[in-house]
Amino acid sequence: MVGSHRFAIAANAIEEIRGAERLMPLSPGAGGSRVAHHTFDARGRRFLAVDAHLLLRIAEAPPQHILVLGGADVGVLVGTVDRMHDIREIFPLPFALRGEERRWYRGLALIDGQITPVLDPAVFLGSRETFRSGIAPVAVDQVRPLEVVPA
Amino acid sequence: MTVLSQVPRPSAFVLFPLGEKRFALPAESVAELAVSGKVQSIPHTNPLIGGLLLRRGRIVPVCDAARVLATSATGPKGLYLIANRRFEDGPQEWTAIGVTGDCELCNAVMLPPTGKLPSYVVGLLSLEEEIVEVLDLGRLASSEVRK
Repeated sequence: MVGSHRFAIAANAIEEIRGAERLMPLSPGAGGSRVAHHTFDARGRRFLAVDAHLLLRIAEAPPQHILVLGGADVGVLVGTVDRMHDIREIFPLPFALRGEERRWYRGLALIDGQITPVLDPAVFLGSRETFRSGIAPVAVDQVRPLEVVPA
Repeated sequence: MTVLSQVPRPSAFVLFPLGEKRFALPAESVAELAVSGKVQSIPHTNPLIGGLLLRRGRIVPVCDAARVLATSATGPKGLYLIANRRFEDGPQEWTAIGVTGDCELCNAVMLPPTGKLPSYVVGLLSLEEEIVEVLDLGRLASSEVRK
């Protein structure tokens, strides 16, 4: 959940889910962005924390969890984390939605009858370009795409 | 002498109420009038899309037409006219408009728009007690909000 909205993200894009208790403000000159104001340390590495509320322009709320993206030095700050769910079909975004949301979402899924945007993990990696963690950058395409299971 | 082929022929339109006014769409563009429960919202950046409906296995964007038409959409909620929207660059998709009462099918001759009407008004229907604007859903849904 991000705010009151539920989202899905490919499970294979997530390396780890952590609590969001130990966030550190991004130090001046470390290269934050409009959507990333914190870092966190895990497994001896420093990660940039991208706030999904800010990226998706949802009213800010205290983050509860961090989704650590696989193969990148980035975590995504979210609210609650619900469960694993098999998504059998991803619907394309309606043509009427032609703005930034086309970068945010891979498409829409139906979960328990609810229209649920499927986030594109790559959208969270943009802020990383200005982040100086001292770690070699990882190509965006190393985040594996969602596998769609045929219906 | 009038040549028969020059006489405007009536076409079918669906009249729908939105607040205190009625508007029309060409009947061939209308898929159905739906009673639907919940408009679901997702974060997005189009101020004229009020949410999404799930209808017959399709995800249908809901156009907040009242914002463009500057009419107060007071009335019963949950009624949606679902029509085909054509985009200028080619694609088309179903789009829902929340309506505030019963719709009506009528046959009438569409007159050309007069005066300074917005580009989404593509014609006028002169009915017994009212003039009804015929809308182009594609232009309407990509309009600026009327102030």
